[in-house]
Amino acid sequence: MLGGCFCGRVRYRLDAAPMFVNGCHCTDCRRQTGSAFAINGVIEAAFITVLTGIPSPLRLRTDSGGPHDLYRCPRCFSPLWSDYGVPGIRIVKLGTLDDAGAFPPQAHIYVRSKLPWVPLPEGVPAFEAYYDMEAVWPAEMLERRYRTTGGL
Amino acid sequence: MTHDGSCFCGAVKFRLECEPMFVHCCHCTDCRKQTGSAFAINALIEAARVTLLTGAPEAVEMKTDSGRPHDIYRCPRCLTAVWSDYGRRKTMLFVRVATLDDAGAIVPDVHIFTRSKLPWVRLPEGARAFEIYYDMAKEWPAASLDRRRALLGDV
Repeated sequence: MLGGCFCGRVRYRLDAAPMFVNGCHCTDCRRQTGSAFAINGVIEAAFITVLTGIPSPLRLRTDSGGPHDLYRCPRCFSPLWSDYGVPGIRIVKLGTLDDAGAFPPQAHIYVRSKLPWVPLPEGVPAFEAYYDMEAVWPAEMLERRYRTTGGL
Repeated sequence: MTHDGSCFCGAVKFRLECEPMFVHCCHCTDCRKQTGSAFAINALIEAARVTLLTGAPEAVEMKTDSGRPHDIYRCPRCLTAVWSDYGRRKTMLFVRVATLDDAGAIVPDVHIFTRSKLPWVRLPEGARAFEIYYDMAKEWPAASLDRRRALLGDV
């Protein structure tokens, strides 16, 4: 699955499907993307192969106080992925995939701040804030995650 | 009614001094890559009605299929896109509604380039949706057309 920034300087390949995809409606994601929500694919950093260009990280503040580095193209500044400090895990902005419709969100989160006019797809769980990963993620994806993170 | 907005980090703050002329929800592949999301929400407004309160957004030139200029203005610190100047007209801005404090108060008038809409994205019921673009004279309210005529004289 190929992707890249707008200008084409950064091209990347996902070597596996994301473990899980969140449609995130929090106000931080809204501003950072310039859209109504972010489409965040959770995947092992090892499964992102950068083909051309060097995404540039920028440290952003978080309400939790935890780290957040947002990687953007150094030329056109498209947001590509985030590193929230979980070892080995990246959150890919799936709007940058060439086939951006390939991985629809499996949960919508922070819908307490969703723009009122944005309809949610039917049949996809939606949460006011975050959720209990163990209750929502498929078991095999939790295993995949824990293999990488050592249980985080 | 005024609308205050800011980038993510707060270094850039601005105010829309009135309602926009018209609001696009754009599902084109360019907007998708530039946002990293499904679409961009752009409020079209006179540059003179956008007051910069703090900070100085910096222009980043984008390539376009048409060859006409497109500058995205970003916060120099957190790189949030706050608005676009399509055509480098300097007089009309496409403000990212997502950066407004009351982003939910401004609802898209039209959805455009829905030919490239992500299949899972639902449009609101009754939304005016266009495969590509639309006829401005038909879709814009008369008062907004007057504002645009006064600004650009192109409709």
